[in-house]
Amino acid sequence: MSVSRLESRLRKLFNVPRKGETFEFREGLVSQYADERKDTIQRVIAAMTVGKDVSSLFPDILKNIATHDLEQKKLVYLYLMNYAKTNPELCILAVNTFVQDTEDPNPLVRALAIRTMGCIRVDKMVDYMEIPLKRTLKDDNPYVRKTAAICVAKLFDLNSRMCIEQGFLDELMSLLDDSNQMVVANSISALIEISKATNSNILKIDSKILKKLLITLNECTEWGRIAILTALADYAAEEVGEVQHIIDRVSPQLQHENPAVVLSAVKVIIKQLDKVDEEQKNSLLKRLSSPLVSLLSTPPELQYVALRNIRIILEKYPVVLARELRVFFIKYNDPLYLKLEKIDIMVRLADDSNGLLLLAELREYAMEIETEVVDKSVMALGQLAIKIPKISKKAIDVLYELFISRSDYVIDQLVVVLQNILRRYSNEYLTTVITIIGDLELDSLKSSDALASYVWIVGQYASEIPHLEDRLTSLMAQFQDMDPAVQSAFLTTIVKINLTKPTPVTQSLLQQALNQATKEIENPDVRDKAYIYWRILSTDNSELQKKIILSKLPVLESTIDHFPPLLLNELVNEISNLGSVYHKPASSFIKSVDGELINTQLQTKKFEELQQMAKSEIVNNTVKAENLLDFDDDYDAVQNANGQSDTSTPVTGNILDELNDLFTNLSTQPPPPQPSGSSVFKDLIQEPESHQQSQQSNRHQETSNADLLDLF
Amino acid sequence: MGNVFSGIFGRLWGVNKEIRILILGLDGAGKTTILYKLQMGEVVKTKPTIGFNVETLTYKNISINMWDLGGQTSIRPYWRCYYANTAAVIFVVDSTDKERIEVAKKELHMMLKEDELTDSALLVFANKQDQPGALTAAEVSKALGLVDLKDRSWSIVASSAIKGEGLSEGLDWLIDVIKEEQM
Repeated sequence: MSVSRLESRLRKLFNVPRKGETFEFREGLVSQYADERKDTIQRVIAAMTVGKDVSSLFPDILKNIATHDLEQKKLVYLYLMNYAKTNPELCILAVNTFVQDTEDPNPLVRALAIRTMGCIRVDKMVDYMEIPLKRTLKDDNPYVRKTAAICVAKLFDLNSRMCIEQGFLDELMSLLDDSNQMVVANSISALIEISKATNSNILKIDSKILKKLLITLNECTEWGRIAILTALADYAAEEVGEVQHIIDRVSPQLQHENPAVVLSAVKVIIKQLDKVDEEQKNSLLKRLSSPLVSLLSTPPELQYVALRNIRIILEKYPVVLARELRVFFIKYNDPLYLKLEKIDIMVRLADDSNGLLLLAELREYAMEIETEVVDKSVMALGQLAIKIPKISKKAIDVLYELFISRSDYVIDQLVVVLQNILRRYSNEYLTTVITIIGDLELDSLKSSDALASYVWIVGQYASEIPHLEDRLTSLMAQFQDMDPAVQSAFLTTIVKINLTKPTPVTQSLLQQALNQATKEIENPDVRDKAYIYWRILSTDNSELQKKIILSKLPVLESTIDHFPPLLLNELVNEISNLGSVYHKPASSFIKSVDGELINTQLQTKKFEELQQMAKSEIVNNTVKAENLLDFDDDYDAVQNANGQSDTSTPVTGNILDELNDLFTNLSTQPPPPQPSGSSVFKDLIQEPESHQQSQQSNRHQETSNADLLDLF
Repeated sequence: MGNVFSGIFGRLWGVNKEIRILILGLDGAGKTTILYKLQMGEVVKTKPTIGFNVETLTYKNISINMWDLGGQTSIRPYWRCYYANTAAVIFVVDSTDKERIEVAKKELHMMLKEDELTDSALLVFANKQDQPGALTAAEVSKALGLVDLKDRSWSIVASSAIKGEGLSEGLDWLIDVIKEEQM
């Protein structure tokens, strides 16, 4: 043994041995004894699960990946999934083992390997996934195939381009015809995932696939059923027979014990409803009510989801659940969020037949302890009174009773409700309202909504209000501190009173209010409103003043809030998804991956095709642009719309007429010159005709097309 | 309980002890073929190794952990992760690849400079002797500059993994050296 070697050995001997857990682990992982290595791996995983950072052991753990011990393999795979991102470079060292494992005789190992490969979200891994993924997609064992199917979706998320180029999407589509229901379900959910992520229609269901899916539906696990039902919901059936078939096959799922399956099935049926005749539609809607009701016997969290979905369904089809009001009655142990949601739905279900029942129920709720429930109940009472004239009298009585018995709890919401009732029934219940308002202490109103309503009532029914001047004076004293909405209401009120019933006091208050609003208030809306009033009041024409300021408001038809139609349609699509709980379309809170897919598809098309597409797009755009520029058409539409509103509200119609005059004046002027951009478009529209012209002009057009393409 | 004892005795007598041997070399030299020829006795169809293969084989009552590391340029930097506790290195050279023998030399000497490998024995296989135009073992040895190696037991053996020639001779020598070192 030579000197230098001896020296190095001695140095090793005298080196202070390194200590610490990591060092111990590392020693253990490269141990010469297999059992010691496995033991150390177990300890490393244990450290990992309690949150210690053991990422520095990556290369040493990785060495232990090639083993025939399934337990050890699972542990190493687990570690890899967790820490692959910290050591992306080193991940390729595992590739060989992964690839070998996908050929292992044991299907568990094959599935494990491909799944782990998919979970290692490292770009370098992607290149090596192609072959094993292709192999496992065609595996003999369904468990391996279904794992690989999900893997395609994962790969797509990492590298959509490769996924398309290698034809993995087509393979997924062909897996839909698999003999095993698990494989079909997983392929469907992978395809749905991919389509959602790219906002494109990759999942093309034809009648053959449809049949397959409908048959598979009954054999699947609940997750599989949900996936298939989701796919079916997006399928646009063409002929009535097909619709009928879908509904027949899906209906049994309404009895499933998993609420998610039920809700998904409900969604599928609802989406088909537009295609069946009226009679069948009604019978189907009736059939939907009992499954929906069954959702309300689940734990509170699930009930909440069900209620949020029911709310959407109710707006689309109010007939569902028409007879099921009692199911929604509040239970004493319901959590608050359920109570509020239930009240909301009950009001929507109320009609002539069950109105009284609900009224009695709401009266009870208004006696509850929770202020939110009380608030909501009072609001619901108001909505009920406005929705069903038949029971409005009784509703007002209940409100009055509430005011007498527990005014401080309910007063804020009550005043808002009273305003709405006055706007619906004008003078019918005025005496009751005035009694309440007359007894009211200004200080008891806490919310600005309530205060604004109070101010409005005082202004509208000034002649009925006792101690009017005192009330106005004390309001004026707080003017500076009010919320802009209340300030605005106060301005209107004081102006109105001075037009109907002026006294020296109100006149001086008016002066003060306008002064303060124009000089000291910073809110632009309030200031502008004050200026406008001031200007109007400065004219001598008192008839005109009254016409403008004292114009009647349209009668309030309903105070139940509704979704805008566009949103409603989107929400129907979101039933049984997260978006239905938020009442927001998913696109508003989930970002879709990228438009890369679309771009790739474009690139694969030939250049000529592209040109053609660009041309047609330009033509379409220009047509749209022209429509926008075409003022005359729009005027007709505006006038039509105004004509309609004229018939319903004659008083406001006068003002609208005046506005129309303004518009017609405008329209006699020459239309504004078209923006220069549109002339470029015009030139391009003529291109299709001039396509066969000389080479030179063609070349010119090609370049301009290319420029335009860049724009797109 | 029995497990514990067998574990302890096993360690005392070195029964379960595994010897680590690395097979290194440029890509396409035949490392994976050698590994499986040694382990299974047959020639398997191989693909470029992205990562590594590891097989355990028992040779003369010694259990050997044979690590075959991928030789591609992108993987070579990671060889160092495997150096710890290595008893010997088998360096495989494609004897027909005269152009890259310089690269092989560079990689070999760089590897041998590593601290963790100071005690490891070195066996070089001048592989692919079955191919026409293959350099002889002596020529390969010269091209790799093996003579310059000091303080290391080394040997070069002409081999053909496909035919199975030279492999057991080389391994015999290696095992003898390792036994001598460790006993």
